[in-house]
Amino acid sequence: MLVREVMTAPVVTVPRTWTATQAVRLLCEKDITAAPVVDESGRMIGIVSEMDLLRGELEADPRAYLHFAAASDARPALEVEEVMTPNVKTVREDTDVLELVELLVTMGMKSVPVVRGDELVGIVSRRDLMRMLAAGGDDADQ
Amino acid sequence: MRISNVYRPMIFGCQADERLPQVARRMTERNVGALAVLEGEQVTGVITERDLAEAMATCRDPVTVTAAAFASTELRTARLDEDTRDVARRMLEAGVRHMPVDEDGRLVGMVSMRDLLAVETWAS
Repeated sequence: MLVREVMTAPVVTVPRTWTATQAVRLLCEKDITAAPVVDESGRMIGIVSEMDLLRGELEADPRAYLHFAAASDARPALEVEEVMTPNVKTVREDTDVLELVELLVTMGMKSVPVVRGDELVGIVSRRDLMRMLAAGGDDADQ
Repeated sequence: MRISNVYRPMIFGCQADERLPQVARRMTERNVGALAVLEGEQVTGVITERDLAEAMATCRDPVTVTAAAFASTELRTARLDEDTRDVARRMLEAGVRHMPVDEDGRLVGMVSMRDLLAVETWAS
């Protein structure tokens, strides 16, 4: 099976100019765990996940751990670019899914963007793999 | 904010001898990333999307494998009265996105990184 058969497209992306809070709201609204971050021309410059955002929120100001309410008013808004993971691993549409699964597991990734040349054409998350696994086995119709 | 304010007071589970496709179906139907693994009514572990991905990567025929083979039996739990930020830190340290919620040794629900992020976002 190839990546194009399991990927989600089109991809929900986060503009590089967004704050972390805007990104969290988008992930919650779209019910996704990560989204590619794109520049003004739509080129992918990173990926931001729930884990990146939560770590960013907690590490932005160590004092916030003790005095979160007061500190959140004082500190500047955290930018997506500050917490995203740059240098994203990608796969092509014709990559074998098993190769992708190995990448997810060995690199500890939760989602992998799918590219055609420089163009972002899809994304595969663990959730997509769950659907694939769910369709397998001889009890699929139970 | 306490875990009791944000956790989901329900546990979705699967039996330890259920095969992985059925486990994956339960996750997608319930739209959750983790299930309690049960032997009868006793919780013996937790199985997550990550565990299923690992099974797909390492097993020749993952559709024949049971939940018990890939479930984590080391239960990391959050307490109802625990601070959400303490739990968020423990999740990040452990690299997990879900934790069962414990009240006096009894599992009463589940809390996810998504729930904790929502707290941070709507609190700010």
